[in-house]
Parts: sequence; structure tokens; C-alpha cells
Amino acid sequence: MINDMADLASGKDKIVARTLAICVHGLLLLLLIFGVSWTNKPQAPLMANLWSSLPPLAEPASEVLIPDPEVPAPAPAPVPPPVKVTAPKVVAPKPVVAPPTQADILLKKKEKDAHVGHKPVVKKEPPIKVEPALPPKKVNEALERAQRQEVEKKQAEQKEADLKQAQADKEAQAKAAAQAAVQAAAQAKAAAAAAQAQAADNKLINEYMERIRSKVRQNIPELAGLQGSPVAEFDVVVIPGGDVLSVRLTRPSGYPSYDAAVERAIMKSQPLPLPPNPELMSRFRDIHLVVRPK
Amino acid sequence: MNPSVNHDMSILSLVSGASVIVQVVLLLLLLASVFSWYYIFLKYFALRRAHNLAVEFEKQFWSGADLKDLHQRALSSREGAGSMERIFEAGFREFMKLRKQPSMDVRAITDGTGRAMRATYQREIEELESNLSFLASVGSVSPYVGLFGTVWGIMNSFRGLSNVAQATLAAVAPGIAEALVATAMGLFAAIPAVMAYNWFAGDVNRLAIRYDSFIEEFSNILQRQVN
Repeated sequence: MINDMADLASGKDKIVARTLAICVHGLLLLLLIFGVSWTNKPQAPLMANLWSSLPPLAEPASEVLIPDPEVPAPAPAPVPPPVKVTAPKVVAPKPVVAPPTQADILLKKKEKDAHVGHKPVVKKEPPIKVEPALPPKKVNEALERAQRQEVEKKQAEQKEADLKQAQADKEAQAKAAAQAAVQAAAQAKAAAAAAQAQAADNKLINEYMERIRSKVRQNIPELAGLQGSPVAEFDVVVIPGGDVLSVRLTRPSGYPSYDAAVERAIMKSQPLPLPPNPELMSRFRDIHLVVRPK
Repeated sequence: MNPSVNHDMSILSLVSGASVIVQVVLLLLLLASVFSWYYIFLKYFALRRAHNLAVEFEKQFWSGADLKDLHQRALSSREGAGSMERIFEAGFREFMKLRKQPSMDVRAITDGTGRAMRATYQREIEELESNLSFLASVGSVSPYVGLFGTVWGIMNSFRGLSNVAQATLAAVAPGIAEALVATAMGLFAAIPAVMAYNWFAGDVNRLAIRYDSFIEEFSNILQRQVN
């Protein structure tokens, strides 16, 4: 009973303790995986280009900065300075409206003529120039389209998330229902088993009570001058193992010598015979012994 | 280490590359560690609660409250009652029962109540001490289990060395590192368990002394009541 109460009180503690224990180990695992980097990978090879002299970067850059509105139009011929050629490269991917064939041609040309060293410089600059080059209407359209697409995308994502959530909820509910059903079945079974066990226990208890009584009776000495069959009743507190903690006379028989003899007999009968399974021990803690002489 | 030998030495690859026995040892140690931490937290909460309840009950008891009131309160709040409250309840119940007996002398009454309280006290202490032995055995056994895993792993890695024409450190090192993970795990399981065991054993001891002196004092009070 004490255990039951302790269980009730510490049920919450158990859950908390379990989660904390798992947290500790999760932390340890994270620490080991991310904190300890024993991997000795060789450094990836670094490529370096050596230039004897820097190419003239500043001049072509300034040239491009001067906005020329014809940029989106197909560039006529392969132009020698690398920067001018690369400029269309940015135009090509951006306008969706532009005919694809032109862009393709431009791209191919660019690939033929591009110089590696100049690419980064060009990439940074064109976005500023390209927008004015496009007719504002088109820009607006493109922007609107982009916005619309984004909104649609967001909506779709939201929907998907909702769906997932709903599904997860459903699953959880189904799980809970299944668990409840299983628990109910288990409880029913347990109840039936408990009833059966109860009957068996009672039989066992009676048997052992009889054994205790007979053992005590054997230890009562023959008393002279005893008339009839005096009945003495005792409350006996037994500890596991069969030792007697205390013996108390609850109803004297009327013959003090007989009462004393029975009490001595009880003490002499230690250890009292007890059922082997400890669950029944609780029924034998406080036993009420009614002792008649042999 | 020779930079040309490229071993991936992250923890995960070390564990997954270890031999089966080492892996089993690691799993066992992990389980032991999880359980010992679980009991550590459980015991910590239980002992803290027991201590708080004892302090609270002592305060109530020594504030001069009527014993019958205290007994009623202990009976009505059985779930939340602390060990000391239960000891008091057992003693007082026995005392009331014994006093109703006509042919009882003072000595018998005080002995009876003392025994009743002793019995409850033993049960309470047993409850407080439960699972502590698990912590003790984890603390003393898991380093050895870890060591066993390590020895086994090192044996394997040296056996592998016999197949190599030229013995280099790089050929054995990963195996040894693998094996040492087992020792590390064993120590990780053992250290907190030992510390917690010592800590909790001290706590239980202190609580036991507290209960003990309460029993003595309460016996005295009851004896005075009989006279």
C-alpha cells in the first residue's frame, strides 16, 4: 500500500526523470558528434592562377557603365573586348519575354569569347543597367508575375503544411484509440486473472493459517488442571521470514497459565510457516490466532 | 599521423566500424547509463520531497499542535504524507489501541508503540534506499565492462597488424581509438552513478537519523501521556 502511494506520488517524477535522462544522453551524443572532430581530411587542393601583370580592369568597366539602350537587342558581331560580350550574358537569362533563340546565340558567343579573369567584374554591374533597358511595362509584368508566383507558392506550402498537420493529428488520434482498446482488453483480462488468483490465494492463505495454528498447538505443553477447552485469541504481528514481532492477547481464555503457555508457544514456533510467494505476505503481517488446546 | 592515410575518425564511424563485441559492450553501457541517469533523477526528486515533507511535519509537530489533530491530518492526507508522518501515524495508532487495553502497563504500551514505529521506519528507509544498489553496481561494474570492450578491440587491432608487412602506427591507431571508445563510455556511465550513489546514500542516512530521533522524542512524549 505504501508502495502504491509512492507510485502515485512519483508518477510525474518518473516521466520527468525519463525525459531528463534522455536529454542528458542526447546532449552527450551531440557533443560527441559535433564537438569532437577527429576527422583528418587532407585539405582540398587550392587552385591559383599566377598573372605576370594585371589585365586592364578599370577601363572596360567604365565603358560598360555608360548605359547603352541597345543592350537587349542582339549584339551584332563578336566584339573583341571581353566585357562588352559578357554584358549580354546577364540580359539573356533575365528577360523571359526575349526570344530564346537570340539569347542562345548570345550565350554561345559569350562562351566562345569569354575570358575567365573578367567574369566577376561584369556580373556585379549589369543588373543596374538592364532594368532601364527593359520597357517598364514588361518589367511590371515580370514583377507581378514573380509576386503572384511567390504568393501561390506560399499558399501551396501553407496548404501542404496544413494537410500534414491534419494527417499527423489523425494518426495520433487513431493511435490513442488503439491504445485505449488494447488497455481495456488487458484490464478485462487482468480482472479475470485477478479473480482466479484471488481464489487460489485464499486457499493458500487458509492452508498456511492452519499450518501456523498446528505448529503453535504442537508447542503448547500439557497443562494440568485445564478444564473444557479454553479459547485464547491473539493478535500476532509477523515480519517477512516468519519471525514474530509482537504477540498480544486479545481475548483471554480465563486461565492465565494457559494464555501464557500459548504466548510462549507462539514465540517458540518461530519462524512461522509462511506462503512462499511474497505478495501474500501482506495478509500475514497481522494475523489473528484463535488457539484451542489439542 | 601520416597525412596520406585518410581515416574518417568521427565518433559515428568509429562506433560503426568497431567489432560486434565492442558494439554490444557499448550498447550495454549506454543502457546502463540511461537507466542510472533515470534513477538519479528519480531518487533526487524523491529524496528532495522526503526531506521537505519531513521538515514540514517537524514544524507542525513541534508547533504544539494537538496529537489527535495531527493524527487526523495524517490519516486524511495519506497520499501526500511523508515518511515521518507515516511513522507518527503508525505509532499513534498503536498507542491508541494499546491504551484501550485494560491490562497494559506503561512499559508494554511504550514498547508496542516503539515497535510499530520501528516497523514503519524500516519500510520507509527501505523505500528511500530502493534503486540505490543499482547505481552502486553501475558505478562499480561499468568501468570493467568498458575495459573489457577496449581490451577486446585492441586484441583485434593487433591481430590485424600481423597481416601487414610493415607495422605502422597508422595501421593500429584506428582500432585502438575504436576500442578506447568503450572505456570512455564505461567511465561516462560510472562516474555519475558513483557520485550520485554517495550523495544519495548520505541523504538517506541523514533522513534516517532524523526519523530515528523523531521516534525517540515521540516515544518520550507518549510515555509522559500514559503516566
